[in-house]
Amino acid sequence: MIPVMLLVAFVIFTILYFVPGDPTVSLLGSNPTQAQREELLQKLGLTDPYLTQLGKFFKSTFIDLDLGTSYQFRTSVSKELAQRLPITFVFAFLTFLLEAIIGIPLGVTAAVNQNSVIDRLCTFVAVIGASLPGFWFGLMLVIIFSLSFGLLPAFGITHWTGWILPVVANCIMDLGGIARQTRSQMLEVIRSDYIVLARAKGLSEGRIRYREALPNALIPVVTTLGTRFGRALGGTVVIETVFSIPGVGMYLNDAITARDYPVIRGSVVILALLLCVIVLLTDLAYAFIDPRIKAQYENQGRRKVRSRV
Amino acid sequence: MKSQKTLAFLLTVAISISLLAGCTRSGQLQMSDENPTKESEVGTAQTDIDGTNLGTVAGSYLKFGCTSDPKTFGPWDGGGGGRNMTNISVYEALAYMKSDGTISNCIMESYTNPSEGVYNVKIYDYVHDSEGNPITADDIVFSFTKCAEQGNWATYTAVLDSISKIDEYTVEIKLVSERPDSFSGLLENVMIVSRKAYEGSKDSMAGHPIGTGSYVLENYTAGAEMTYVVNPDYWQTDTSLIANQSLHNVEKYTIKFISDKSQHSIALETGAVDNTNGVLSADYVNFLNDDGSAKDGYAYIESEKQGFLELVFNCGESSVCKDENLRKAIAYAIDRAAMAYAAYGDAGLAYTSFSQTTHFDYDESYTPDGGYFTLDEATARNYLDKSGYKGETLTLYAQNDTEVAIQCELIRSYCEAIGIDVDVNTFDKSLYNDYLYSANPEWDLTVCFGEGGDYTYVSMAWCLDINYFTTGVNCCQIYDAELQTLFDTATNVKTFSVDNTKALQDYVFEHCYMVALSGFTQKVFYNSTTIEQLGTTKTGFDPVPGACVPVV
Repeated sequence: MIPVMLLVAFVIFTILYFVPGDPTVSLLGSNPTQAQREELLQKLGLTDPYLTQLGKFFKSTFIDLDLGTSYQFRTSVSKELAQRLPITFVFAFLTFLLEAIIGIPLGVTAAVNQNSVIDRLCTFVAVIGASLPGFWFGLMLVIIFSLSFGLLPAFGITHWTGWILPVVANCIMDLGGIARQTRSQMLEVIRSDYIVLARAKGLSEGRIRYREALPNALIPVVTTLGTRFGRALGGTVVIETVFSIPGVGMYLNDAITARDYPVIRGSVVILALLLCVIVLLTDLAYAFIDPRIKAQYENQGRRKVRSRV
Repeated sequence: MKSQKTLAFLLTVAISISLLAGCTRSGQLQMSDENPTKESEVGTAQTDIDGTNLGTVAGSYLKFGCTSDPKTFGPWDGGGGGRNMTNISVYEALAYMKSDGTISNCIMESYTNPSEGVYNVKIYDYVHDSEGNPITADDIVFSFTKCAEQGNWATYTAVLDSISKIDEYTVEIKLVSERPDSFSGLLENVMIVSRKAYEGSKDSMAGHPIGTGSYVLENYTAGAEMTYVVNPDYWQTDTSLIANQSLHNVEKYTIKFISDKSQHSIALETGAVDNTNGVLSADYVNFLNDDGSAKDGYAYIESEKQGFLELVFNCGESSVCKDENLRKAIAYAIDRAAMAYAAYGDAGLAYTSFSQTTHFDYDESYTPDGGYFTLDEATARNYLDKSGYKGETLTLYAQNDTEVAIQCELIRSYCEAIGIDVDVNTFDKSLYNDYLYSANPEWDLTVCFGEGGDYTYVSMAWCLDINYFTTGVNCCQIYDAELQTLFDTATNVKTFSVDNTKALQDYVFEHCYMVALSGFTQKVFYNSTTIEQLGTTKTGFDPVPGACVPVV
């Protein structure tokens, strides 16, 4: 994980160093003079050579554990991320949950009723979901549920009901993908020999589907869900903007527009760290889902103990 | 048969959803046509609205929409809409400018101008902040010095040479050089705080602002909203002396941050906010009747948007646009009225001079005979024939804003119509500014937002005044001594006049260094069932919550 973090930090710093653009534009307000801009660039240390700037960045990030101060807001990037990450985490988690709760049963239902009306309906819903742009769907939801019926808030998350529309809008695109993937995996698994054996043994269809077939079919789906969760932690800029959710995505997006380097660098490093953790957790989840993998780890552990003895 | 039924079912569901999504908006339009707006709710055409001083109306509570979160509350922090609302609520400046160019005192009681560039400012001797700390001359000196040090308001503080205390309640402000807007810019943009309160604050007031304003911050949720309540111990008790920005008719108000512009219209329609200045011009129709009056339940104020788009030519040796005849050919080929309409619809305004009605020095003489470079294809072709243009492709740079992009494409088409090839490139704001001010620009012409400002010369100065640049050439990549002399004459407070500004403008047009393009009339809508009168700043755009008249 450490080499990954160092590499990410190096790459993001280098990209930002070479990308043209000037943070002083948004800092100095309306039409400052060239002298004022140059003075500020010097004050921010942006006129230093590449290696000097890189050294300072690595020292503050990895030794002092300080992500710096936002050029725009003069606030600590760490503190701001600490405020925003929980919001983004809740948002990502709810999206993940909804995708799993709806997408997986939808896929399973389609698979076990292959080529039936239910299968086609599930496929249709999945394709429609995958084809709808999240922001457009979000605005449609706002028009229906906020403007027309006044049932839910159009924006903001000051009340729990504020989460409903953004979460639904955010999960719509990936929901279809999850359902399609679950369907194809289930179809593959339910044709395998051990399922035929289970049927021959007289196990109930429900047990065969949900206890014997589904765990095996879920492994690639879990990988997708894990990656999706990690991606969602990076922020869903458009949905966050549409629903005024003060998450990491909006913070990062504003920072990119304003060339707020400490915010961009700090956010990317923290998000890379979180993504590494999520990948690790996803790997661990395999063992929980698939008894074969769990058994494999247990056997390896036993072998190590024996060899020590 | 089975699949046909399924298909029919799905189509029915799809049609139902579409109807559900679309029916309400058209329904509202029809309803409104049947119930025409009352005369009192028809929009007015004022620029700034001085709120009526009612004193605090007990129980009044209003909600405002705002496009950005200030994020920090320090007195001299930078920022956009959210920052303006914070400054208006918690802090106060020495004085404010009104749209007619007069000064409205706030903390400042009076001032004298003993010599050129020197001002003695006397403040009231009973000013104190919301925590009871008295404001004296030392605090004014401290505030100005810290503001200049921080650099966020350098556009205004750059003219400050020194500030010193004369007595307990008087300071002397010396300016480096003086333009008509130098002193007023300082007066209204430097927020005043108590040195004791500022130095006692652990976070430089970033989280807990303490100002002299008529409101105090009650609650702030990052990225969501901030709520202000009236300051019960507001220092100015003489109601006749309270500035518009410091009125406190409303007991409590919340400012909601709505980042997506299309949501501003919905927020106002659903009653989530009582006012917002973020409604997109495309959404004006949601609040207007066919005759342009406000729909039942809404009202609006409108004003000319400060600043407009300008077309700037690279007149340097490296560009084909160094040819004055080519520049004039382009200037005569473009149809500003069509461009304004394409970008802003009915709200669009075509500019054929650098003056706006919002400028303090606005005068009809700035636009003689309908203005400069009005569309004339024959003249454009004549200039093109006289030019040395040999079919080169001109590079047009602009910011990647929707309205700007539309106009750039139109410029490309107009140029193509007379035989000039133009390649359009758009960039994000930061990148665009980098290219705009580059020492070796790759653009031949650029479309950019001109500076608003209070005077006509500001619309040209940001681009052409050599004092803004350190490279020895201006944004057009030239140094023209005669142009600079005209600038110095038009912008010096002693020699400033409409005639001198017009002479400057005439010279700019004579050489066609840059031309004005388009802007728009902005409308700020509010809920007329909750707000009787909307108070605003001088631009007519930023609401002043405390200056509003609430309906109780």
